[in-house]
Amino acid sequence: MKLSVENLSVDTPDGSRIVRDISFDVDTGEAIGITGPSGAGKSTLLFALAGLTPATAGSISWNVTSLGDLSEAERAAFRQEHLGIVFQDHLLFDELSPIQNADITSLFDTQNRHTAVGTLAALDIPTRRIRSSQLSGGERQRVAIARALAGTPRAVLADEPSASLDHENRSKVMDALFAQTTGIGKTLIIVSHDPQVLYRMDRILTLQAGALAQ
Amino acid sequence: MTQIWSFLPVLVRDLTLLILLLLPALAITTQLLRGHKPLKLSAALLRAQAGTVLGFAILIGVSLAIGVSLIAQERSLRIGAAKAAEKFELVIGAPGSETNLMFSSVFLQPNAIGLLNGEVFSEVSNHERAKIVAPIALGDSHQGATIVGTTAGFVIHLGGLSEGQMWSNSLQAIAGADAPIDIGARFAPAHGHGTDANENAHEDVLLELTGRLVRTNSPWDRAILVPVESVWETHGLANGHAPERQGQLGPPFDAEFFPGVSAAIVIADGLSGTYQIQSDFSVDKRTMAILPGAVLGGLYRILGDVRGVASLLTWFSLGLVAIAVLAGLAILTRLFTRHLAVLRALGAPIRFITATVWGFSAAVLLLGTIIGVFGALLSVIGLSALISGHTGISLPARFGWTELHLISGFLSLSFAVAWLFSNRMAETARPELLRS
Repeated sequence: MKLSVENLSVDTPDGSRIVRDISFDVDTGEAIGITGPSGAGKSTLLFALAGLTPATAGSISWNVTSLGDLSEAERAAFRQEHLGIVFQDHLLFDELSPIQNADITSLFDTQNRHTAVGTLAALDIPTRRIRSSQLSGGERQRVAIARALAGTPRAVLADEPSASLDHENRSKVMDALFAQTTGIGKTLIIVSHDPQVLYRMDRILTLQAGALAQ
Repeated sequence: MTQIWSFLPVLVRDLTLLILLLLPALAITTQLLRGHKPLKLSAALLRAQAGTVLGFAILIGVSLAIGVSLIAQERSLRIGAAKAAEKFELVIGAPGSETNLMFSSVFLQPNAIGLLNGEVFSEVSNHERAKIVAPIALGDSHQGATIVGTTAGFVIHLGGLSEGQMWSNSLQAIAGADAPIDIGARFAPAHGHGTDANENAHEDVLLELTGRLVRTNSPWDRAILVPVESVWETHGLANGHAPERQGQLGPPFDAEFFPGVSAAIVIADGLSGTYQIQSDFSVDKRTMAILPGAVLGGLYRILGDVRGVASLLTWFSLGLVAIAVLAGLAILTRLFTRHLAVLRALGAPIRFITATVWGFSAAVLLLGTIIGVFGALLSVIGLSALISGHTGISLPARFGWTELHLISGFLSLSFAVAWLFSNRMAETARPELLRS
């Protein structure tokens, strides 16, 4: 899925500009890393690309769909159909089991496109019926990745997907993530500080105070 | 439309109303659950807050139980009292309070009422349309059971005996179905009732119990019945018969030797006869003729207004509880706001998120309603037993259509309010919250 960002600016509700006049393109099947110091606007940019934070100026287009032209409900439907998102702090439902968390989009995905079970096995996620609150940080991270991949999205946006993983698991999980995205022609955008993750990306964008560094 | 409605059988009307009241709840449930599976998530959220959820459900249940049982108990009391009075078509007594006369003669409640003299009683007895005219003489008791002086004919009118034999002299008695005395027992009647009863006033009189009256589901089940002559003789009065007929029991009585009775129960030869006799004995100030059914009807009319207000207050209090519970749920579900925002970020439609919150709220409301129904049923059974124990009136402990309508209406109304509230929750849980 191709992404086109033109002159994008994003403000906070109180008017502070977090992302400043950014433009870039991402081709279908490309892996893009976004990096930069804390507070540079990386996560805000990722939220804007997912249509979770409205753009103050400029445009974001996935293929021919401009997010700015969509209503909030249409943006939600677009996310459900085309995007998989891994949040920085996982945002799992602690009351649900790992498999229920990974499979959660099946509850409202009327087309029933989810494929969580296969992904769970690939990511070595515990399938026993325990609450997700009982999982370790690494396990939670893997469940969050499985959830993003479950709806067979055409692009995956991940915010620090390796942050909670140890060295051994990091390679394993990243292998699985790449295999199920760029490996099959899907677009992958990752926000990360991790050199081992960034090393595997096709291209790296560096943000400095909300703007793309030269 | 109103005319068509009034022509429908009562059962059809009640059933239709029940369906109409439940319809909004069913429609909301169908609409919200169609096409996705929000209840799995609702169930997980319920499990996470099980203790608080149970607390809210109990609060709803108790409130619903109070409202429903009040209405059920009031109707039960009306039906029980009407059934208890149905064998007493017409009561003639001395002028005074109609309700006092009814409560004394039908429900055997001690009251200060005047006496009917022999002349009047004779007139009533000789009325051409009277089939049975039974004297009711009160004043004594035994172990809390009222002793009623009457005639064998009236005992048969009440249903006859379930065991033993009818009295054959004025020192014999029969007991009501629940009177605390066994056949064959001998006892001396106490003068008066309750704590004021003088146990030794008639210690020289010994009555023997010979039979037991069938169950009447009225206060007469706890009474002891004796020949009216027995009451008079116990009090050292003439026994209603001339000296040459001293051993006679029951009518005819001699007006000259008739000491007076609290009331005369009259069974006429038909409905028109009942009204004829009532009319004939309401013309002057010597007597008062009442139809217990009509007196109860008058009481119900007064109580009906109170009942209307009580029903309104029940609805009002249920509404307040529902609002309070929803306000509580609003606070509770704020704990889930981040969850809801995650769902939106993952692309869940507003309808799914609304349905998830609604499923959570509806489960609490439904659980509360179930607790309320069982609580109300237990309360009605308990209260009926308590009131029956105090009054002797058998009260049916069951739900009627009114209670079912109230429960259905509550469910639909609360489901609808929960829907609005859930929709609001879903709309305010914006994905931007995840950045904060």
